[in-house]
Amino acid sequence: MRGQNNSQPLGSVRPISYARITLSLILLFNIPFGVLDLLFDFVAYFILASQLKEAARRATYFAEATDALRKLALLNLLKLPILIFISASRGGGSYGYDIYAVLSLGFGVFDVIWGVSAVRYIFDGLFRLGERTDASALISPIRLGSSEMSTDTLKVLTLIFAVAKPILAALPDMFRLTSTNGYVSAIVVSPYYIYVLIIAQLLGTAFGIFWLVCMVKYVKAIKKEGQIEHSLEVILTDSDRKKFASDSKIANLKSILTALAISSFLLIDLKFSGNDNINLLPDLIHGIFLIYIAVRLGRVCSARAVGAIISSSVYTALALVYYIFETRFLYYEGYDSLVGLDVYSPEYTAVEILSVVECVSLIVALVFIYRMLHGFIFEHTGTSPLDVGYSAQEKRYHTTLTRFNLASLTLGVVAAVAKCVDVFSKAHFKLEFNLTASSAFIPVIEWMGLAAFICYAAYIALTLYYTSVMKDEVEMKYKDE
Amino acid sequence: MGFGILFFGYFLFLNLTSPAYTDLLAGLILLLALYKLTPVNKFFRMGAVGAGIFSAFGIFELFCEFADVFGLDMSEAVSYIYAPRSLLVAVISILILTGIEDVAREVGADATLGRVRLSKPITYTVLPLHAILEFPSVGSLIPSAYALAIISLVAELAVFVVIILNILTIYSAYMHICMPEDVDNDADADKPSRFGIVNKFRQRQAEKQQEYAEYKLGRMKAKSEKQKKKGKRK
Repeated sequence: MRGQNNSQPLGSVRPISYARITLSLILLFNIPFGVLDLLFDFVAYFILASQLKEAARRATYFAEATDALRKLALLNLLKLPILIFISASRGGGSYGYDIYAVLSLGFGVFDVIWGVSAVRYIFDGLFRLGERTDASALISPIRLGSSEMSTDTLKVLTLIFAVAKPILAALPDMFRLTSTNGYVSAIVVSPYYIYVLIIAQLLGTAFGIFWLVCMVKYVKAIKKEGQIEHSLEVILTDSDRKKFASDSKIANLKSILTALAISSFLLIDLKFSGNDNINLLPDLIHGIFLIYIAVRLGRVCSARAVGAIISSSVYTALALVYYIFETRFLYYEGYDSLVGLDVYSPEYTAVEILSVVECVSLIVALVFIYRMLHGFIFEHTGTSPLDVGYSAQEKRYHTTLTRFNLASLTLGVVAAVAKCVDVFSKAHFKLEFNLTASSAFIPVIEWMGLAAFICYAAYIALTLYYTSVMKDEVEMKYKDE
Repeated sequence: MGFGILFFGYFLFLNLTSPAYTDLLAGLILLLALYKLTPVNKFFRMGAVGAGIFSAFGIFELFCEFADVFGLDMSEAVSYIYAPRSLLVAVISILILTGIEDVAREVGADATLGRVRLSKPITYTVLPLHAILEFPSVGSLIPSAYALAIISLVAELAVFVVIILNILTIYSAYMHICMPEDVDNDADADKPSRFGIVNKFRQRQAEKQQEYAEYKLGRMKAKSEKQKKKGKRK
């Protein structure tokens, strides 16, 4: 089954990162203390899933492992808000402990099921790869001091850990269940609870450290040998290799466009009940996304990305400063202080100035990204204008796409300006009503917040449409090439 | 066009900051979209009923929002709306997703089915939980204001993510699933409009679509010829 032709490039392949794998193993070794898991397991599962996804694209038998890891990641992510909610809302103990214990057990069961299947699939995949290629470290015993441990034993050890960890995490909670004493219902947290908790933590942590040491040694041995990337390449047949190259290129380009579509959603302000509250979705996150997009576009387009990266970074920094000032203003004064006053707060003047500066920086960043996307259209959709077969029809279609790009930029600029105007409207163009003739009660209509939302909506809808059209075009250009 | 209208209606759920202004509009658009999708399956039919009730809530919310202007204090009444409103959003979302899943499975739209399978379990968990959290009595169960703030923050962000996922799912359904009604609509489109500008616009759009179809066909032919040549060389 080994392919002989290794000269063909494999498109964009992200190499496996041993540092990330080690980090995820470190995140996994501990036993959560009730809700409190300082080393987030879901992060570890997401990292492992993303690493295995790269391997699965070349060796398909890793796909099942990736699926199981994704399920585990989602389960652990969901677990967090639910258990925090239950433990925080438990007033005085009563039924809260019971619900908590049952949920903890329920999550534990799924943790065991998916954990075991993930471990089985991962090791089966690694062993299969080790047996068929030169990556012998995948199946060779690992050295632990003077003794050795076979990879089969390591698999069994990992399976035991995958079962023991959820059990040891959920076991102490079972001792917090409500029990009844004769006819009188009473909440009795078992006196053994604390002992069980300590024993579970000590046992689990000791076992976890041993498992971690073994696994890190295994990963180090694989890294030292350095054959895994090569093994994943040679295991591909010639036809698979071609398909893989075009698929990975399409996936890479499409992921950039997906990031662009998601970034448009991050322009929205998300505030607790009303436009006058703190923004839960600071523009800082939007800025980070724009930097990411600029870097990725720079890798696939011939146009230089420096301008886009610098302008996005400046926007991100300014968004952070603006967020700090706005939050400070809300903490000390609040928008209520602006209602019905002719004299404006100097604190708010700083917020207004910063909002203008942030708006300008966002527009500059959007213009740079627009220019890069312009290049993207000509390089990655349809026929290249430099090609002899570049027809008038294709030119017209490119024009349509560039118009979409321009329209998207225009709506982005409008949304940015609307955001800025919203900040000003709170102090200068308020729609106030004083029908009650009482100076203490002046209702204000948040009209500009709504207008800004409409602008964001238009920008998001167009970006979503535009990126999906571009995705189709990219797929058409590179599919089966 | 059911899914297209549904997309716009559901989009308005993204306005989490001041939903009182847009809920009525969202409800009416959803009602129209789900009414159009009613013949497809029972989930859309039930969703249409939900959207109708949601529109009634929208009217009340809008009234409460503007009550301030007339010197009426409706703040206490408003606090009791949030929980049933969130519950309705959860129910409508679940019905829409189940309906889409049903149709996508039937027509073999795997991309849409994949999206539904991702967003459905998250929607089932997050939106009902958020609705429970909105009940005033549940809020008072949480002893610390700090804990309440953290929980609300997590819930709000989770709802935002869920709604984005659902929007993308509906958009995927719009792109990949062609309903029988759409074919009928195309037949209706042949009837000339009373307004000249509309006819001009339609004509221009039809020309563009035709041109794009030809362009795609041409490229596909060129590609297959290229592949044939390559095969012969081998």
